[in-house]
Amino acid sequence: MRGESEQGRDVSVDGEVVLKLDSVSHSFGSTRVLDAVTIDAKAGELLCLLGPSGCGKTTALRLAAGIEELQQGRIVLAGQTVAAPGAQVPPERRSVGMVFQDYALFPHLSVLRNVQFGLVGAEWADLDGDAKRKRAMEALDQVGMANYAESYPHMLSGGQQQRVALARALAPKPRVLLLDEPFSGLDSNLRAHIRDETLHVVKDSGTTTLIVTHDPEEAMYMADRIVVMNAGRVEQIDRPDALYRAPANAFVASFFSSINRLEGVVRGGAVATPFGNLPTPIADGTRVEILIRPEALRVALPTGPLGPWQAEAHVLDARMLRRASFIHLCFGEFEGQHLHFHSREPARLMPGIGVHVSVTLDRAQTFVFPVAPKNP
Amino acid sequence: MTSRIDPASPAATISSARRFNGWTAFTFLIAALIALPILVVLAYVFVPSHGIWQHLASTVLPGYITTSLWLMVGVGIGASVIGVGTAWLVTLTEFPGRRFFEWALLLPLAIPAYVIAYTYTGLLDYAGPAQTLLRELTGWSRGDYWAPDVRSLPGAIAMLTLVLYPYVYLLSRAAFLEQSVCVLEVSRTLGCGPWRCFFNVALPLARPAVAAGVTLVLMETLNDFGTVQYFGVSSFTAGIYRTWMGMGEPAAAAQLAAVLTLFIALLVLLERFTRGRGKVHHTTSKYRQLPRYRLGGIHAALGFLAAGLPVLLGFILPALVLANWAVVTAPRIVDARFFAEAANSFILASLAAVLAVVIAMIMAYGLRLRRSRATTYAARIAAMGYGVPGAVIAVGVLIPLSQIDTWINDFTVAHWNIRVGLVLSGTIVAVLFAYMVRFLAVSFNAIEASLGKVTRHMDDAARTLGQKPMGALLRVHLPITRGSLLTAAILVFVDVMKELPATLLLRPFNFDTLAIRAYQMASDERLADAAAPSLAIVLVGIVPVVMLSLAIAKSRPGYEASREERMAEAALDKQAAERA
Repeated sequence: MRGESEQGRDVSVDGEVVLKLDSVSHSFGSTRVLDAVTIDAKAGELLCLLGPSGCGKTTALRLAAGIEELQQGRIVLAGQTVAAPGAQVPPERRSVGMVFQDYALFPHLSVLRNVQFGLVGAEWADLDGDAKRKRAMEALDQVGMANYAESYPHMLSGGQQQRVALARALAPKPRVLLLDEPFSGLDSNLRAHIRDETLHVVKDSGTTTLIVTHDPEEAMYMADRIVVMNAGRVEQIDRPDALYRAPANAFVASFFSSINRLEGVVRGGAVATPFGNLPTPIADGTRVEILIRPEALRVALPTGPLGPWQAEAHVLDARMLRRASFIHLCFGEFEGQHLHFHSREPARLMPGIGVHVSVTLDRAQTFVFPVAPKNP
Repeated sequence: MTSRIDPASPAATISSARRFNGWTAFTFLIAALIALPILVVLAYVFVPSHGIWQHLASTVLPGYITTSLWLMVGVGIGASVIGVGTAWLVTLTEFPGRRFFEWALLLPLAIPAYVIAYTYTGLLDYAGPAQTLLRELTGWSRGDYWAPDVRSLPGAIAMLTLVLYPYVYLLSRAAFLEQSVCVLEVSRTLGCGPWRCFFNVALPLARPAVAAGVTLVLMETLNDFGTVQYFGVSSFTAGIYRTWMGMGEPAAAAQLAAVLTLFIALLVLLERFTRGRGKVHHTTSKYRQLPRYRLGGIHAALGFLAAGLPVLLGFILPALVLANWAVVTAPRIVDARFFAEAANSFILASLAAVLAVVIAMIMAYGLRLRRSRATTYAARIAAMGYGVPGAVIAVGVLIPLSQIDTWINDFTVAHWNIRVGLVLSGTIVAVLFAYMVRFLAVSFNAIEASLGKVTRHMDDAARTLGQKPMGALLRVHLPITRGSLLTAAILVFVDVMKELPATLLLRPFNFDTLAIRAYQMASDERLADAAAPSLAIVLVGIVPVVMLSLAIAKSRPGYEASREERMAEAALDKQAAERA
């Protein structure tokens, strides 16, 4: 297993660590949902926990908030251990703001009273009613909902409820903001808009933020760094562009887009592909998989003999997607594998079906990983 | 900044071993207290009773068993036929008055069995208006004609059937409504007439609900004390009372109670078993206006009669008789003593309602905070008293409380030479304890259902926004469930107003309630005098029936009932289901 903390250290983001999950493991019954997960979020950083459903990302968030009891590991918040096995600081003492997937607004309270709800505890004790009201209105203003202060949650649309939930979480000025799939309840048009709004509100507030999402695009859009999780483990932590350019393993490479895949065995420091032998540092004799992003395949009509990193294919189908053509290519049989690859071609090329084309491989978007032994 | 935490000091902020906090401790404590009387009673199976048990077993016990069995068979059949039949009529046929009967069929629930028992006795006995009228019309005199003897086993069966059938009606009706329109429409397109549709489709689908309803009815039958005692029918509860009060043998009474408790446990297991085997799944969930069979002519008249008779005999007639008597006797009966008794009833019922709601709220919330197998079982134990007859609970409450009183007095005499008397067993503490054992389930089920309105994430949100569990309870859960708390309190209040056996056995000396007074005057053959307190009880008993009726009237397809009404109905349904 790769050491996650090691990868976490690769990335240099300045600032003090505000929230640290230190080799946290967690089980529900006999199901292990988190396995030695280490994540740290630095001051003002926006971190996305990204992974398929059931990968443990929400559990990690709930553990950080203190609404799930820690079983193994340690959670440190602003320099203090807030959770160790058998010793927990309850959520109300942690100063974390949380936005829930269903917003969880209190139906019996007006929008303003919802946002004022968290203005309790030591640091708000000195404030009188007016000052609290002012702070709540400030938070509502931040999310553009000041006009709805006297409305009740059931009178609001999904997007408005989401904004109120965000204002409620931000109002007490928490040390960490935790958002659990905050946009999944919104329809796709609204989602992009609210996402952008949320990003700016959160960034303006300067609060260290953890967002749980299963949507790679959302994570890439919002995050300073992305924590890619799978089956309870951290696969990789890095900046979005770095993750995309240099995925640590096949899971990370394929999670951000659909990807072309073939298998081979390393011989003489290289692995055979239809485009030629791809050099790799992986030891000879290792069974590897070669992952090629659709963007890595440049399609052109053949103009002469094949050059380096070129191969011949014929077109099975070609479709115009919004920003690119999507071309299905057949490379025929290669080492016993029937190769049907997809190319995402920005040139808006629309070759006819059955046409022979030459395909150029961009090696920067081609990744070789040892084939992972199948987990039982 | 929020107060920071020092990891070195574990006690105050970092709570370790949180599996066992104050909330769960409370749940376990309540479960233990509630289980105590039942365990005490069951423990008496093993206590030697100096031949009294052998004496009982060889003399009265076989009679108690056969009588109780006959009662159960009779009431079970009667209540199922009336309950299922009327439920089918009002949900799947259309005839004049159907919408009125839909809720009116619940009205008999408002009348306690002992009240309807002496009302019919007064109505039908030799000197009563029915026979008098018959003699005046025909010129017959005693012996010239046959008249039914109400004060008999068949009479008791009839009385209990008339007031208990609504349980079957309520659950069957809900089951018929739940049945997918499609299933019924398909059966109609396949050529099923109303009768075949009923017997081949609707009834088999509704069987689990009917079984649950019948189980409820049988439990209430075994719980009944007033009717059987008044009619001189020797069932178990009457036997327990006689053994205790008449023979002064609490140990033998406890042994009878233990046998009765085992009887009920068997009944519950039987119901669970049939339900487990007969689980019916609805494959589609399209609810529309049900396709009703339109009854015309003679059929409509028969439908009207079939739905109308239970309402007439179970509510209208006895209520009229009571009102008639009360008009005559009220000026004499409604005096200072009457108001004192009404006040006693009100105080007891209010105290019990508040206690039951507070305890149930803490338990339900504690369960929500930390649900484990142990706490779930504890809550189930705390709710099981509902199936145990009041007379049994009374025995189980009195024995340990008297023992504790003895200890207390030994202690005070030894230390201060003062006798403090029966501080627990001789006061309303004992009565309230018994009410909690019997009725905690009522409030608990209503409150647990209503806590469903508060999502888990709302709990979490309140906590991350700085509230301790108690703060979240006060600021989120209580305001949101306010309406249901009131419903729960009303249900317990009314049950306590009507309760007879436990009150009768445990009340402090000279402490009378309306129910006790009504029962005692009826026992002294002052039937008309008993009318005023009885009518007061019936009027209070109508409140939950009206609540239920409103919920039913508004839960028809296409009507979006308010959340409170839906919760009220869900709570009542759940209460009914949970009893079984």
